[in-house]
Amino acid sequence: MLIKAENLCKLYNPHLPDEVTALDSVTLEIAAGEVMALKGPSGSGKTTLLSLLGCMSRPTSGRVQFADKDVSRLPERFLARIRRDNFGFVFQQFNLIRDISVLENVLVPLIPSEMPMAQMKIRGAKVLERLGIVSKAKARVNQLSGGEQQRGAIARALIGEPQVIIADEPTAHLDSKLSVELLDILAGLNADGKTIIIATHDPFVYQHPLIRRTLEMSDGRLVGAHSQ
Amino acid sequence: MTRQLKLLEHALAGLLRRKYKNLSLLVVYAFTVATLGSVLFLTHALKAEAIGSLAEAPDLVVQRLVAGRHDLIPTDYVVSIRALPGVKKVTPRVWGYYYDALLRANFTLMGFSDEPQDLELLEGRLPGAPYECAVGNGVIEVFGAEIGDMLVLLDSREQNQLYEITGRFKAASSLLTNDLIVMQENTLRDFFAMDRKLATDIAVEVYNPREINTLAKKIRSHLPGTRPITRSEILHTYDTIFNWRSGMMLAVMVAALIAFCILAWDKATGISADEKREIGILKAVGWETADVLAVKFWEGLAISLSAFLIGLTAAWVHVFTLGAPALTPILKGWSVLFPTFALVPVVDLYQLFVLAFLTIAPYLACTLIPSWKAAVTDPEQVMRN
Amino acid sequence: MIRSTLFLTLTGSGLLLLIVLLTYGHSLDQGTNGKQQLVRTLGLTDLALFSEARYTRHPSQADLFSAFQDFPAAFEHFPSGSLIAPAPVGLTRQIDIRKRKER
Repeated sequence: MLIKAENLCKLYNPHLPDEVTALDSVTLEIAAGEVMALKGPSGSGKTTLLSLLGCMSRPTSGRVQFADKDVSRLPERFLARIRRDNFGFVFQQFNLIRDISVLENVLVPLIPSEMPMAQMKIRGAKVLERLGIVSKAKARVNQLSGGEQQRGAIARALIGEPQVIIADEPTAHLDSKLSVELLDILAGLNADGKTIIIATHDPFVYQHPLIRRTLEMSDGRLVGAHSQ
Repeated sequence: MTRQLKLLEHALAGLLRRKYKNLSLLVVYAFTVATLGSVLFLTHALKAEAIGSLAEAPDLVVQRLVAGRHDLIPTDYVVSIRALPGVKKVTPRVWGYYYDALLRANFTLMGFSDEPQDLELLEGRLPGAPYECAVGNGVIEVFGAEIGDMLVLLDSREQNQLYEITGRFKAASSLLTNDLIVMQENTLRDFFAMDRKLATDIAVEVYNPREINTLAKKIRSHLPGTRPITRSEILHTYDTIFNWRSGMMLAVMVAALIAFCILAWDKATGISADEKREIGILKAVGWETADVLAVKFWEGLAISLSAFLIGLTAAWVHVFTLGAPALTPILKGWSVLFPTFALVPVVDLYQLFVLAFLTIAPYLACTLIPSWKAAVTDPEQVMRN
Repeated sequence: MIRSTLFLTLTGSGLLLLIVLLTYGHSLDQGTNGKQQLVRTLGLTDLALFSEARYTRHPSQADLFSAFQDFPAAFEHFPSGSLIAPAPVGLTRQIDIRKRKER
């Protein structure tokens, strides 16, 4: 198993009056090469679960294993490195840095590495080529359309050649045509062997034939699982 | 190395994205450094100038104090002082001030009794006969006079006296001679109507410089009512003299400094939602806290170091090539005859390090601390709206 | 890497310029000989910087009580200076220059 989660709990503001239980005893396993969707209404804990699986935060209790290694108690520094080397994130808001070019945005994850700039640029051009926006490499993010921005965000997720792509509501700001394109791109990535985890409440996504397993969440718990 | 260069590149790109904000910050910052630097440069150079030139001042100057104020000293004292062991030469000196109400300028009149000799910084010659005078550059300029003209002064008997200008102290010596009118001692005595038995003070030369202080004590006990001023006291005066004035200017500038600090603090601590979001994105895509801080460090250093270099260079040019035009009005106070000085550009490195530390370090801290606070939180915030 | 190279070059040359300026000053730190000769010959004790009062013109020679001094229009730096205006002085010219040709 690539990712294993056991009894994950996450509390926000623990021991305070406004304590919130975002996740409650979630256990799941994800195999390498799998495509999995998390569905559920907003506030059901999808994003929290994604952030725990993607090593962005640590659980209040429970364990996360990545490639048979317990990562749930690692110091922040190591988590950052694991994120950089193994995960690519696609956010709902795209989260590109404004006022710099698409290529610069795509290269951001590699800046703290020792890779020389020239090599980084070659890699960046390849990724943009693959996503069909190489002509926009020099354009600023604010000059791009929504679809182009989403592709830029995916390109940034791919630049570190991660094993796992984590996407949080990737179609929320896209029309149906662009959503189709996005899932085509994800299908292509999965064909290359990448594991894909998507949080969504868009039926178009979780009913798509690419998704082989769907977990349903409600109030921080897993309440159902379907496999296609 | 490559890594730090890439981080620097990212930091500079970040600064360029907020061009106008950072540029205005840089300008204000550089201006603050330039003002503080100018004050430091100017006062230090004046100090160095005084200490360098006045190293040749008389070993001892003996004044007489009456009722707490400086009074004329009897020339009889010369004999008593000359009798003390270790004394090389004793000269009674005659000098005083002359105020012109129209110009509102004070001149320093100085008696000279030795044989006239050639001086490197004197054009013409020292007065060799009664009713001749050598004057400082400031006197020449304020009257538009030249060598050979007659200087007309109203003496203490309300009579116009004419003195021929035989020499002019060159501009290079202005810091010492700007307001001087040098004439023969007896001429000056007549002018001031000063008794032959009195002098302004007495200059004493000593064989062994280590005995100056002992001698000063002896003079005080032999001649009560006198106040011997040693050369080291003169130099000490100049070592501390600019504190009051530069201190006043610094006090004025503290306001500027505080305003700048508020600006810097506001800029740095009021880290914008945009910047917070950006830090979150960087963290989310795999940057460590240390990487984020490295970028912020480069950003802060780029601004503060550039501002420091620009400001200090501007201060150097302002003080040493332009003659500190922005500061002289403050320094000048009510002096009408203010010398135009070409200062030797000597700089106190210690002061510069202090200035560098006081301007660069707080700014860096102001940029780093809030970024650090933003960077240590979990990046999952970025995934939410 | 254009920006960082440019920045490092500019900062480096700025630093170099400053160091050159600072050391240049110290290399010039002679040339006081003429002034020292002047000081020795005339027995000068002070800088002719501020001629508004005795204690500013000759700070090292001023007596220990030097509040209200020789410059009749002087303002004082003491708080009392803002209450006590300088005594009015008539506008009488006491000094003049008679040109050589007029004689």
